[in-house]
Amino acid sequence: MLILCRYKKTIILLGLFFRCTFNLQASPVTLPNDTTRISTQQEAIAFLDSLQHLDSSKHWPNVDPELFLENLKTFATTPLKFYEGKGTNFCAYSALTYIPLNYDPLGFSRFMITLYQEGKARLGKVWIKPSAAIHREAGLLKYKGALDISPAGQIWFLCLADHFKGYLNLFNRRFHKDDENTLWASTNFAKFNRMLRRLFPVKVHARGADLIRPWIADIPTYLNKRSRKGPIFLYLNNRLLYKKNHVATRFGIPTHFVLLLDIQETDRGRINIIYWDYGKKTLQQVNPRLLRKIIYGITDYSIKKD
Amino acid sequence: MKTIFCHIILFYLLCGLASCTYSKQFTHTYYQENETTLRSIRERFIQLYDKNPFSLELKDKYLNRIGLEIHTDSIKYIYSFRLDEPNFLDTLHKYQFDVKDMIALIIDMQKTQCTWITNLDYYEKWQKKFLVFISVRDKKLTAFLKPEKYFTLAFFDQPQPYDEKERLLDNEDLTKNRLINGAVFRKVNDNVSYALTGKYR
Repeated sequence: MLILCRYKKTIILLGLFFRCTFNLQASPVTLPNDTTRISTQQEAIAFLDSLQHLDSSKHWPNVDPELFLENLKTFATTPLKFYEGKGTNFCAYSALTYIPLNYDPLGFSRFMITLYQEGKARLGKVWIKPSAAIHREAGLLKYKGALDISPAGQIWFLCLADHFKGYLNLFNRRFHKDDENTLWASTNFAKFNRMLRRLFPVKVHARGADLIRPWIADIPTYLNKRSRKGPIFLYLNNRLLYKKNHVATRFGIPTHFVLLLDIQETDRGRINIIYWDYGKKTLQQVNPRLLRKIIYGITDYSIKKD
Repeated sequence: MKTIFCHIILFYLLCGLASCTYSKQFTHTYYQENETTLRSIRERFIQLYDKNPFSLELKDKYLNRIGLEIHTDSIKYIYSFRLDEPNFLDTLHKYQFDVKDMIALIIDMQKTQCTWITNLDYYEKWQKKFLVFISVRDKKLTAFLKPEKYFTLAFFDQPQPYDEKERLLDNEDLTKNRLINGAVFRKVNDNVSYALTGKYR
């Protein structure tokens, strides 16, 4: 008892640390059903075509309305070309965009049009009301590849990063020029799952943590089983997956979100993972040890029927 | 006693400076010494890329392990091979690469210590453009107590604007520096820029 009293502060701090870091078994297991679509691509295109013309918005002075409308049509017709931009920290927002573009493209298009015309809009349980700095910056991001010519994508990413905050954003909460590349835009695992729950009508099942890998004995089998029901989100240590320098990484931390579409074991004991990021599907061959080492978070979801 | 102490301090300071500074000579002379090979790498890469978009990485310090990224319209394939592995040639045949040209490209990259080559897309006045991006890994760029640096080169198709300090400028706004992968690039010549960066891609 005496020991408990003496180390009370330490125990509380440790408790807080684990509360912040762990996100195990976030909600009851529900199997995703990929056929549950709220609207179709055709409905979204018909809605966007019906608008014919969009006036320029006083809320978004640097966004060209014609290009904005064109972007929304591209999102509806080719959702897997949705691109987060080179060198940005928008990977989490890009990964979760798979859900509205695949399950409710009409709802997403309506939301984006309202956001453009009125400067604010509601999506799921969230009122997105971007700050003045975001209104000014959208349309001006440059040298980010195809994101340069996607003002609609810029609005969506900047609004999400502006609205949702996690502990990684603690010291950089307000947007300043070039913050799309900094901690202002970054996302931790708990924030990612929170965004899913609040933005979309989904039940989320998450395993893993920001600093500790999930305790799953056979990760390939687990992923295989889960991905058969529909795509799942992975939170990865990208420094091992996409090496950018030759430094041996001793302390691994996850920094990248991808959408796992499929996983296959090859006859030579290697594993093919097919995932979606940077506007494209990627097939990468890895060994089981590396796969185990890079995965820090696994999130699957199912669309709520109501 | 005081003089000896001063000499010891001076010696350590000089050692420190020598160990923490990258060879400036390297950035000045590397391009001149390897210009012909680098130009040949770029041209061969563009020819191969036009038929089959790809990026190539020489992964280890012996430059014998290959990382090959093949970009198709719908999917990107990422493979890793040893150069002597039969799977490497099989893969080149499967994706209909010109094997002879590919091997010549790899040999040139080994000669010039290139660790990474790719085509980067960017937009100017809503037009899509490309630059060839090459990273060089060299022993001379490592220094005691400092992380390894890469000598990265950007090859443009058109001449680029530079400021008075020879830093690459944004073509659409000449008051701003143009960053590539977050780094400020400097002039080698009108079409080629360089930077020393902590990442090779």
